[in-house]
Amino acid sequence: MIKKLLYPVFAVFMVGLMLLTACAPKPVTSAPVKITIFVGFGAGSDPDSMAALNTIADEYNASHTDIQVEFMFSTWEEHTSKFSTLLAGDLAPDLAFPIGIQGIAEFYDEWIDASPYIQRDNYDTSDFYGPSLQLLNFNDKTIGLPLGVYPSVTFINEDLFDAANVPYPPQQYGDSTWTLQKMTEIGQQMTLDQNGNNATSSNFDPAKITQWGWGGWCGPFRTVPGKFGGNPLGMSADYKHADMNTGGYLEGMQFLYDSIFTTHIRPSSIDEGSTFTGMDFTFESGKVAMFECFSWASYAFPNFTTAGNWNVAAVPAGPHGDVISPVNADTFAIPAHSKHPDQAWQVATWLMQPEMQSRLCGIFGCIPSRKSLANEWINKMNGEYPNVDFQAFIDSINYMDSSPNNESWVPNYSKVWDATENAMSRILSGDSNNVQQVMNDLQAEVQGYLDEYWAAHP
Amino acid sequence: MNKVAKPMSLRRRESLWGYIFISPWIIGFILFTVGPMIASLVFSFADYNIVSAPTNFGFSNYIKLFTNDPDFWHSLGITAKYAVIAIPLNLVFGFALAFLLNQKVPGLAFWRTVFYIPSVLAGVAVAILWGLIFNPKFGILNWFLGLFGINGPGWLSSPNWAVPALILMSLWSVGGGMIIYLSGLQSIPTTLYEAAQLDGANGWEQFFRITVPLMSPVIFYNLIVGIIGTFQYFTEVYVLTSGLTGGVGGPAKSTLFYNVYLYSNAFRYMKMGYASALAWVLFIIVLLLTLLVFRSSATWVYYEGELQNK
Repeated sequence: MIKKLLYPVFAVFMVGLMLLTACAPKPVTSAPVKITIFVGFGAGSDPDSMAALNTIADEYNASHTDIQVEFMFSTWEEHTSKFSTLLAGDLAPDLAFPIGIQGIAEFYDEWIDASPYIQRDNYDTSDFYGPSLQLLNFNDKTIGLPLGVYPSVTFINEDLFDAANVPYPPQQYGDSTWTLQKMTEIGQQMTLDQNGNNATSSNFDPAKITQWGWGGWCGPFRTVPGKFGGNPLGMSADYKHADMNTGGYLEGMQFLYDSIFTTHIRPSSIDEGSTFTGMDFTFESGKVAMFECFSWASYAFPNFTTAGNWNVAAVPAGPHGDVISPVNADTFAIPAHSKHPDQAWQVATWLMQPEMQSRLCGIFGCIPSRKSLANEWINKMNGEYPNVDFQAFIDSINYMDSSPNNESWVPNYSKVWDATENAMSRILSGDSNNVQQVMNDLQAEVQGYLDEYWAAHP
Repeated sequence: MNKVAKPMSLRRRESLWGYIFISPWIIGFILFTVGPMIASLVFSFADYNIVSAPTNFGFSNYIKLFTNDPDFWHSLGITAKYAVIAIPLNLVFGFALAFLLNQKVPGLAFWRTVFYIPSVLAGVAVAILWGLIFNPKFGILNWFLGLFGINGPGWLSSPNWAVPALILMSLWSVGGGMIIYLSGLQSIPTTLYEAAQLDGANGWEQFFRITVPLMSPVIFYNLIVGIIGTFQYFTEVYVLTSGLTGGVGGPAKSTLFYNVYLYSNAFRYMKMGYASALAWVLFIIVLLLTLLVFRSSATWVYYEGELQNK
């Protein structure tokens, strides 16, 4: 009898012992907090950048015992699904870095307000460019600190200007003659057909263009309306009423249409898909005299150099006198689902130190948002491209579209974005030559998205 | 008094082992197929953005889908237009190719391999390859048309030619159907052809009176598979056109296929609930089309067993 009971009793005793051990209070340890930094909302996911960031992580970890950092990488194409999956799986990273205004808008409700931390630490923001700080101040919160900015400038192919005997556009702002109208006139002089006739000639054949005077604006359509006195967001201040078939939106789209099919200074999207295959920018071909783009095009500067002697000029004024240099910007954001927001802030401010900011902008290709780093950036860029006037980039910061920005949040963000880009594609491809109708269609579509959003968020 | 356990019968023991051996598949099927299907059905009746729990349960997704979403009808229209042209083309080409490769020609094994290989290549790689072929200026297709004095269109860059380009591209993988047709052709008894020859039937009559009817089950199978595959068309169109001007859906939404629209709603607009509703509507559509074809098969599909029993 006793023998029969011995084994069951022993088994119960062992199970009970294991349960007690598992449920016993754990001793306090001083294990470092692990901060995961999600990279994918902007630059940083190419192999070279990943290696550089991992080196930075190693340096941080070697010098800190309370916090250890780890970078988590995603391609830009997958960042939305990957980040949202992490949130859904309760595996939220502690920092999204670098992240631009568009990334902030995509997950706007997810980011915490950084202003309590800024005030608590009395963080000195005086060295940041004022417009770059404005970019991150939203209605109800401040998200992050400005890491870097990417203002737009006009890139010019000096060889084509020399061949046409046309003076270069001004590199400094303040020249009232440098307007979109002037740019169009210059563009027509440098748009040539296969017989060498420019677009002002009666013998010009628009079906056989071999060189274009202007490559367009490299950004989304929302970078355009501000140049025509409009609101980049194309809606009322309360985000309830679309305003996309009048004013800056209509004028901007009409200008785009005319540049392709009337003045012929810009290639159509079909031309872009054929003549410029394999290139990120038509300017790389050496067959485009001018084009406006952000400074993040710097990764293509070697290709620009291969195409010919190039430089930069100021952004021209619109027909109503507006000088707008569309800007993209990088910052960091702390997800609301982060389990260690305090430590995340600590890591973020370490990354935002001037010397780190300079180093990170070297990795991402941004212009540091600190005024004190401007000369260092100019000297560094001139070391690689000695003949280019990089001061024009710094000057463009004063003309940024900071509030609202072309990437700022709107309701049903991605749907409105896609609708606007689709409208532009109808014009660029020649699918429609009725600009007013295209904008009326866009207006109706976007109003529907706004109504849908506010019906779900009364 | 202790009861003696009844030994398991041999049949039950064999059944038990059978279930044990297939249990990994069953568990995987439940966890990774049935489970997500049930979850998506539940999500289709809610607002669900992946990040937060589903809310607002009801029929609003389905009501909106049918009454207030022009892009739903647009994407369905594009997919249907593609299907109506691509499916018959693939059926005819595959059958014609199989018929030709069922003849005694030199290098038969080589030709069969050459025509079959494209159907086993990865979708993304094939899409990139065709992107180069369709290049309006430097692509081989427009170069070939240029030899005949034809100025080729913009293909994927053009809203009017993007879908025809994708239809043309679909013929690349006709080798998969060809192999099945070939197998069917080789199973047709030669005695039927001999008897028909004796009766004075010419080549065309033999083809339409013997080959086609006896191949009807294979055609039926390829038609069903074609309908299912075409309405799920995604990889190639997404790879080829989502990076073009206009974003997802290509230039002027000309390539906004149904699954591309579904994908956009799920992973770009964060409307997983609405995307789930789109998925179930697609399931119903494909199911109805398949049932329709099944019902019609009684009039045009002939099984050899039926003929012999008559």
